[in-house]
Amino acid sequence: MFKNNIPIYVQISDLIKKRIVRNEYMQVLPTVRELAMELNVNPNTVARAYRELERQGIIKTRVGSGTSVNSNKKENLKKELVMEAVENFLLALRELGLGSKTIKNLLEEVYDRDKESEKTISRD
Amino acid sequence: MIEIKNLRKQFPGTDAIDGVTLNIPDGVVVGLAGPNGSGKTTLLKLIFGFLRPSYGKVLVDGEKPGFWTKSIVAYTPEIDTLYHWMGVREIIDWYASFFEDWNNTKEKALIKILNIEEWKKVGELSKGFRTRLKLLLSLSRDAKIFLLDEPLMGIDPSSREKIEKAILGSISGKEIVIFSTHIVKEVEKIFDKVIFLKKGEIAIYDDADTLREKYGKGIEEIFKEVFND
Amino acid sequence: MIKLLYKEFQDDRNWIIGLFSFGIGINIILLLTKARPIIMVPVSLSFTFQPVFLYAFLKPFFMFKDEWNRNTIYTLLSLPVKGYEIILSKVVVIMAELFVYLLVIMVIPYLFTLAKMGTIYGVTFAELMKIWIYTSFVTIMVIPFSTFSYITGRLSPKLKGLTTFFVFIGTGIIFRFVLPLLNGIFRTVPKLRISIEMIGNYESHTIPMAWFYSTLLFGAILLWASSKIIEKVEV
Repeated sequence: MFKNNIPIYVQISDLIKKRIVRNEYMQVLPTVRELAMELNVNPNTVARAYRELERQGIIKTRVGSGTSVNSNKKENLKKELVMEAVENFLLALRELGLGSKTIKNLLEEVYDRDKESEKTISRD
Repeated sequence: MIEIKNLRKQFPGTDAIDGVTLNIPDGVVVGLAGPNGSGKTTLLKLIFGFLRPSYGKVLVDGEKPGFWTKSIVAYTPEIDTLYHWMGVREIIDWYASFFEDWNNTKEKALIKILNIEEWKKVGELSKGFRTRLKLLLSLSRDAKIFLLDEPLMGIDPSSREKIEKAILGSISGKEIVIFSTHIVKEVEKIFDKVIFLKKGEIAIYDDADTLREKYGKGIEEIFKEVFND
Repeated sequence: MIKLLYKEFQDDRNWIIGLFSFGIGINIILLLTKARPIIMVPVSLSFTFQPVFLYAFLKPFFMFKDEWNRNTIYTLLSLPVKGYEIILSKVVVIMAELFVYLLVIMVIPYLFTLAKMGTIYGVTFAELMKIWIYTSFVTIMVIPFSTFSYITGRLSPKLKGLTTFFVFIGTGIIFRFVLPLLNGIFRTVPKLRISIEMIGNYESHTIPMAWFYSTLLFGAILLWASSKIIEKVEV
């Protein structure tokens, strides 16, 4: 589940961000220990991930009420993750030697195909 | 907390530990890696008190290893050290009776997760299951320091996750766990810090994630790099 | 210490059964040879005293060596127990084995004799008990010497056997010199009187006890030293 060549706490942060954006965590995050048990990692590493997310303002820890999602930041977070995904995608295509025009045509082609299949589904 | 200063251990013909200075704070899981003969077991034995320094010192919570430290340090040896004629249930009860920090809740949980066959005799267990039993005897304690020498010995790859779970589930976060192993790749994600021991000296002692950031590689990869010259 | 005793008794189960069976066996043999009951006790005693003494001498070596050979010494030394608990639990087991064995080969023939002849020719049960206790203690006197020699031998990483041997010799020599001094301490202890009537002859033996207590004291000191050493030994 985790790669060894990227800091584990970074991978855990990324995972939490994804889960927040997907609404798997609405308000409250699991405790450090709960998440550590679920992911089978060291609680210290989860704690570090939480600290990092808190530093970025994505989550807030209050004594007594646990760790909660900062809903203000959620929209920005989604945008950030989407942009990251897109940029990774573009990077992957560029590494294969595709130019900007080719990428644009490719995207339109895939988009149209996608829309067609949506229409087909609603017709049935 | 473990403080080691200028530690040297000499055996006839070899310097097993040759100048180690190390401070391990509370609340960390430390991976101890190194090739055969690099001094991993010797270091663990020196911390526990099975061996005494030739030079330098080892302090466990400010005390030299001895009678007092045995009640706060749990040592899981690599070799076979249990009485084969004892029943599994028998040896657990017997061993537990010596320790005030024995945690029955942990014991029950560990029996389950490690699939301990309580009805057998220790001698009837396979190597992997003897390792599990040894782990149970250490991890069921609320010890302050856990010294695990090759806790994956004889454990098949599909069960390694279980061992990780068992270890992580047994600690509250305030303890020191030193995990000595050859098999680094599968378990490195649980290490807070890593010690690379090369010929009795410390080649690297750093945070695991810091090393990953620095090298852009996994701990095992870095390990191979350090030891292949 | 009780917990260690439990483990030591369990660990030595086989020898306990063996000794006990051997003792019963001797009794059966004596019975079958239709020996005159009166001589059964002295015969069984003299017949087996040397092996019993040898057992007392060798057993500590084997018991401790076993822990090292099986690597169970790591388990033992990882327990938060004091050195004297480890030493004493083993010594007590050997002592118990010998006391019981001697009881078996002394009391049972005695009871046979009593059953067959209706009388014991003047060896009262009290005298028998005196003889039993005295003989048992004499037998176990060698245990601390073996224990001390072996444990001290373990201090040196090489040449364990040689060290054990020389420590044993050395301890014996020191004992020869120290004994007269210790005897001085026990000058005024009462002597042991054993009175038996054998075939019409009334015999009374008076055994000076100073050496007895001195040797036991020296043995206790050796055991104390062994306890300190085993806490320092490296594995």
